[in-house]
Amino acid sequence: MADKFETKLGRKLVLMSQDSGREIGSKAFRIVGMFTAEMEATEKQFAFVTLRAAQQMLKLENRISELSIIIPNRHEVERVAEDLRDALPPSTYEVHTWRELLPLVNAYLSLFDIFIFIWFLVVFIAMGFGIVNTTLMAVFERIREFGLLKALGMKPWWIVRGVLTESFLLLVMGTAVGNILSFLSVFALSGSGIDLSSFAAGAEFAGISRVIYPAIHPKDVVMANLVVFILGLLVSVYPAAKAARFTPVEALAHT
Amino acid sequence: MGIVECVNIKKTYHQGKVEVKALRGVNLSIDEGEFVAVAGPSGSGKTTMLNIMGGLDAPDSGSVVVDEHNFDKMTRSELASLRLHRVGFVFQAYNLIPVLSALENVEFVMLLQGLPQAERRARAKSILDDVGLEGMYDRRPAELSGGQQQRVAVARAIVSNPAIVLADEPTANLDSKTGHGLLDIMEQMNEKKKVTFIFSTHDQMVMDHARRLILLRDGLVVDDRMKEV
Repeated sequence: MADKFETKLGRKLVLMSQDSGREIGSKAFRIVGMFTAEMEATEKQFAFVTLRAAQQMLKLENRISELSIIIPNRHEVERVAEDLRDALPPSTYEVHTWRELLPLVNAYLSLFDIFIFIWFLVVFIAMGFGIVNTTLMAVFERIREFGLLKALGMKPWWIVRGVLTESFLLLVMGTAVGNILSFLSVFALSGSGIDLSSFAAGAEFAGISRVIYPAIHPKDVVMANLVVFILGLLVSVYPAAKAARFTPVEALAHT
Repeated sequence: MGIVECVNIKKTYHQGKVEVKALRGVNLSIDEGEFVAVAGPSGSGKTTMLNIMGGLDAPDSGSVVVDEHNFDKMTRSELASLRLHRVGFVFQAYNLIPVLSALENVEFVMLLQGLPQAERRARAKSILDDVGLEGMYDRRPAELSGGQQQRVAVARAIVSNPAIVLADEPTANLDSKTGHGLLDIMEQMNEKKKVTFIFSTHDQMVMDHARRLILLRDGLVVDDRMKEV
């Protein structure tokens, strides 16, 4: 904004706006500080003055036009807004959540949730194929062994159980290593964050910060591990059943 | 009723578009305690017959009864259970589990049967002693000769006191002296433990040892005779 108006610290700037009497209200202010925002649009959009000066310029006396509240937990926004609507007279006060005031950002976030869902779906499908592939390879490599075990009297269900147990152990080791690596990487990046300065324009467009600070939510960890385990065991049923279905003669003839 | 009763067994394999009639209606009755060789040239159906008697393969038609269990009425799981408790196998290629020692290979069947470790160990050692493998309990298959591996396989087959032992060309990979020794051991087990042995073979030495010889040709029994002892 300073560039646009070709001004700098210490100089005066005249602000004009419609006052409470629908007249043009204006006042000269001396620039005492400048701020840097993540988005250039924010810098162009806002000039901060004292509440008293704004009330004088807009002829508001002691009144205010808007009060913004930041709630520590974003999931509480709707509930707090509802409580405020109930507590305040509707003829005097309007209560709006940020989602109502910023429909574009709201729509963008909904879209982003869908993208995330699709991304998870693709990742988990790929993981499922990976597990099936690994387990099938392990089964086919040991077809003769399974044939021998069946010939010696191992029941088909025991073979299914054995293959599923192997998959379970694979999943335990995989998730343990995955969790440790993710905890370490989040821990390493949580201090300095992930700097997206090189993608600043894109980040601005998406409305996200230039620096992302990764964080771990226990619920996400539990959900991800649970999905991996259940999906992993489910897709392992196919190779397990395959191993159990070979007749001993077919399996022993396998080279 | 014999320990093995096969009635009109037929089996056809499909190799691509070619049909191979392995068995064309085989009738067999084998009594408990017999030492039988099923002989015949390659492709005569002896291995198929043995596989069917052991429940490893199913016939297209006909009925098989082993130790009073009719295979027609049995599920895969019940067949596996019958093999575990009443049928022992000796394969041409030994088929020992390579990562287990001789003792563990013999113990394995009893492990599947759920026997306690102390009993498993004692019985496995005793049977390995019987087949002449004292002191080789901890050797893995790769550390044993072909003859020794086949002795472990015999020990594994008879350790759980099965009703029958099916041996598919057990001497095919052994030299004549080793093969002779192995047959002597199986003969002793047959006499000592009254286990029924059924061999598939085209080895004259096995035929000489057998007390009953069944000849198969083109999937049919062409000769079945008891031999003079």
